[in-house]
Amino acid sequence: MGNRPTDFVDETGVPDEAGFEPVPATAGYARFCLDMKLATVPHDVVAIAREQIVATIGSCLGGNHLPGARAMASGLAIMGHGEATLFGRPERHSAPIAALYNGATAQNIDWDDWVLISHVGGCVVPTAFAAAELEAASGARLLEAIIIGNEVAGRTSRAIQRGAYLGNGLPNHQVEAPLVAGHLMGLDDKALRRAVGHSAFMAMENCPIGWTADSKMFINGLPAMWGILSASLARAGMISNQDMIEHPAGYLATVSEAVDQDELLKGLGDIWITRTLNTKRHASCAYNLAGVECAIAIHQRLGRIDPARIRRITLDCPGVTIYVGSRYQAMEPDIYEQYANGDVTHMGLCFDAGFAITAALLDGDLDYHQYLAERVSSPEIQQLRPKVRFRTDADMQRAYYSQYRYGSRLTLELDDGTVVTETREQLLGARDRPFDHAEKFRAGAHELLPPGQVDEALDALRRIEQLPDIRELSDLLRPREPSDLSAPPR
Amino acid sequence: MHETPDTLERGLRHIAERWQRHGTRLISRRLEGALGRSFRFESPGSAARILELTHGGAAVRAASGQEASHATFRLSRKDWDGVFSGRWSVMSIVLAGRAPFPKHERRYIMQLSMLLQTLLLLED
Repeated sequence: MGNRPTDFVDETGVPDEAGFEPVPATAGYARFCLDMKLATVPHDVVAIAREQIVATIGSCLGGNHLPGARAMASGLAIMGHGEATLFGRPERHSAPIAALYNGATAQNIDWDDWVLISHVGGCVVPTAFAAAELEAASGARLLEAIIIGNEVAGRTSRAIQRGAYLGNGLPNHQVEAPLVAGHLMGLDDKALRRAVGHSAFMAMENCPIGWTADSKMFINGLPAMWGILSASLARAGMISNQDMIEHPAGYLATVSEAVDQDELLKGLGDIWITRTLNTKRHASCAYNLAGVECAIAIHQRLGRIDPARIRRITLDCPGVTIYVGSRYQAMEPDIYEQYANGDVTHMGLCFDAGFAITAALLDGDLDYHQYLAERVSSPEIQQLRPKVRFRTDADMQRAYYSQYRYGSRLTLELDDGTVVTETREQLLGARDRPFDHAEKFRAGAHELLPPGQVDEALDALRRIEQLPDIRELSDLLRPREPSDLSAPPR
Repeated sequence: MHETPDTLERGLRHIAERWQRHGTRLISRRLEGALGRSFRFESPGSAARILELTHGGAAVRAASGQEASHATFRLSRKDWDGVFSGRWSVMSIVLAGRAPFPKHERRYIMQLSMLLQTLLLLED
C-alpha cells in the first residue's frame, strides 16, 4: 500500500488523520481472487457465468463475419503464432494476442453483454479463455476467473459512473482483466496487485469519433491483451504500485472526474453482481433492442413488407435511445455514404436505432448479415430511413434509469391506414427475460463451423466445469480448415 | 426554428419552458451532474446566452463578456436548428466535427446534450 501518515495527536488534542483515506480496493480485489473457489459460489451465479461463455463466444463468432475482423487477423500475423484460440479462425496465437482478437470480435457488432452499467463479457471471457489455455487450467478455474471479472467490473463501473464515459467505452477493463488473468496464472497477493498496477498505469480512454470504424474493437481487446501481459510481467517480478485502483493519483481518478470509492468493495463476496448480467439475442446497442424485437414481431405478423407501403415508423423510447441513435446522423458526408465509400465501417450503425429497426423490420432478424455493406446500402433500407421518427416516453425513461429496463414501443403506419404497434418493456436477454444462448451461438457460428461441431461445442461449453483442461474445448471453437471467411478482405 | 439572429434565444426559451414543465420527469443520478451548472450557448449573429437548469426550474440570461461557465456550446445556426428540432443532439454536431469538445467540458456537454434532446422529443 502507499504511504499513510500515522495517527498523531499534538497540543490541539485532535488526531491528525489523513484528509483522504482511499478504500483499499486493489488489495481487496487481490484477496477476493485468492479466496475464490467455485464450490463456494452460489449455483445460480455459476450457471449465469457458464451461459455467459456460450453467449460471448457466440458474439465473437458473429464478429468474425465483418471484413474488419479478417483484416485484423491478417495484420496480427506479424505477432507470430502460439497455442491460444481465435474463436472462429483456424490459426492460433499467443494468449495476449488471442485475447486481443477475441475481445475485438466480441464487440464487433455490439453483441456483447454487461453487468450493471459495465460491458464485461467481451473483455472478461476472452481474457479468461486465453489465460486458461496458456495455463492448461480447468473449466472450473475458468469460471472462477469470469466471475471475478464480473464482480470487479460491476463495482468499478458504479464507482466511476458519475465521472467517466459510459457505455462500451467505460474505462474500467484495465482493472478486471489483470485479475482475471492473474487468478488463472496463480499469482500471489503481491503479484496480483502488481498486475493491476502494470495494467492500469497507462490509462486507456477512447476517442468518441473512433466509434464509426474498426478501431472501436480495441475498447475490449486492448485491455484484455494488456491484462494478460501485465499478469505475466508481475509474475516475473516486475514491480508496480500496489494501490493503483484507488490511489488519488491512480487509475480511476485518472479516467473519471468523480470516483465513488465506497462502491469499490461494497458487498464483495456477498452480493453477486454477476446476477445482473444481461445478454443480447440480437446484435445492436442495448438501447435499440426492445425496438428491434418489436420490429421483428411486426415482420412476423405482416410478412415481408414493401417499404413503399410504409408511411411512417415511430419509436417511443427512453431518451438515451434517441441520443445514442442520432450520434452519427449529422456527419457530412452522411455516415451511410461514408460506409459505402470505405471511409468508415458498419460500427456506427450498431448504435443507430433507426438503422436497427428498419433492418429488423425488413429482414425479420438482426445479426451480422444486416451490417454488411451490401445490405446497409440497399434501396429498401435507404427508402425507410427518412420515415423513422423518435419520441421520448417519460415512463420508459424513468424505468430505464431506476430499474435498468430497456423498453420501446414501435408503431408502423401503412399507406392504407393500417396501424400496427408492438411494445416491449424490457429487452430480450435481460436478467428477467432470458433466452437460449445456443440460438445466438448457432447464429454466430453459421458458415464458420460445421453444424455437428457446433453441437459438440455447445455440449462441451455446458459442462465446462467438468473439463480438467480447457484446451479440450479449443478445437471445437475453430474451423479445422481455412475458408473464404478466414481470408483477408479484398 | 429559423435562421434568424433570434434562433438561439427562442430555442433556449423553449427549452426552459419545457424543462419547467417536464424536467423532473427526466432527471436521474447519471444525468444530474448537469443541474446547477452554468452553460454558455453561442451562435453566429446571436448574443451569447447562459442556461442554468435545476430540479424544478430553468433560467436563460444574457452572458456577460468573460463569464465563466461549466461548458460552452458553439454551433452554427443551421446546426442549432437541427438541435432545437430534436433531430440531432449537440453531440451529433460534435461527432460531425463541427463543434468543439474540450476535455474538461466533455461530461457536461454529453449530459446536457442528452437531456436537451430527451426533453425536446418528449410528448406533451
